[in-house]
Amino acid sequence: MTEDFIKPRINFSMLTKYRGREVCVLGIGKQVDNNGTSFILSTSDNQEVKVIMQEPLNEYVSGLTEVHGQVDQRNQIICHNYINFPKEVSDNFDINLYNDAVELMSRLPEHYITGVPEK
Amino acid sequence: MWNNQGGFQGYGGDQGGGGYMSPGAGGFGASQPDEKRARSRVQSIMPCTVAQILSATQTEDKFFSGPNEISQVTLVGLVRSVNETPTRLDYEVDDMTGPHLEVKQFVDNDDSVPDNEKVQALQENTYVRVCGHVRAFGGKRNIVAFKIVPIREMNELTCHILEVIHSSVALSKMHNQPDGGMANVNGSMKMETGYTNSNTNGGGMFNGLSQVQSQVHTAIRNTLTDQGISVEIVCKQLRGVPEKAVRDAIEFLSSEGHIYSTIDDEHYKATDS
Repeated sequence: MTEDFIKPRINFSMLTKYRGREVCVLGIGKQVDNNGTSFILSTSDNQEVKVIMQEPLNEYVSGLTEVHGQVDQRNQIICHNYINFPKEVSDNFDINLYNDAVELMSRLPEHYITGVPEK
Repeated sequence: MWNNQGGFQGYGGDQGGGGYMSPGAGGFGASQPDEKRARSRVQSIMPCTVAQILSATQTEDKFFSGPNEISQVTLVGLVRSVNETPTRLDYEVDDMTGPHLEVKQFVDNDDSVPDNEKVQALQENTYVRVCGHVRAFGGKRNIVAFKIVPIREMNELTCHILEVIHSSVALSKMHNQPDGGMANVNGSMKMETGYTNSNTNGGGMFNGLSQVQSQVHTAIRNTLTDQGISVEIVCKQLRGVPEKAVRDAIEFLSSEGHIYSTIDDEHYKATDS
């Protein structure tokens, strides 16, 4: 299976398992640091992970945010791309249900199919 | 999955009596002999992942993920690239399960069409809902979309993930229980999905009812009179079951819409008898 293109959706509890891999984390952005080089993302299982930017942020990251990046050895995420959603979208997002979905995807890989077999 | 007769109903268009669980009449070899040459229309739409589409097997012009036909699909993903031509909008959509998937939408956007009537291209880095047909061209899979719109809220993403899993689980159960499956396809759709919080009794039955609930339901369904069956008689029929359990089951079935009271609170009939 080509693992290169898969960016599994994860929460905090799965960080260690995906060290070194590209992942997708959807959570609530909080607390950008003074230089704009990192921010804290509150994950769907209510834990905080540090997201490290490759270029400084020029906007406030708050509310629902999706981060695509690589998990480093300290369980932080090196961010390659992020999407910040507007307040209305943030406000009515059911994050607990999303967390359930994340866990189901991980538990039932035969039903939520990822990866394409090598030809 | 939605039983989608025209193939162009779009998301959420389900026909009355169509069937949430049904893969559609066409899928079970029910097509008439004279239609063999003509292209049979896909009857259903399947929520799936990009990986599922790219790794599906192909026979003629139908695609299969395991035993399930996935020729008409719906997915939610991120637009990664956009290419506009006067007749076509080409996108690459990524749902994190595999490589980017090409999605094409045919439009009429040439210069004679006024700007405000043109189909607007969607933007990169936005989440979209795609509904369309799986096609293969030169060995490469793509989707010809009949609908591609931005999603309005991120709960739709969660919903899609759950629908992908649910369809897959429901269909594999149906394939393992051919009797239960066929009954659901041919008969009226019961919508017994078992996603009820009160149903914590293990639910060994495929239709999501516990054993007691199922027995009570069957007893009530089998009544022939207009005024229905009385609770007392149900208890007598299910002698081993305590009356409280029967009454609890009746209350559950009633709130789920499987049964309704008739002449008084002690008499019930089934909605699908």
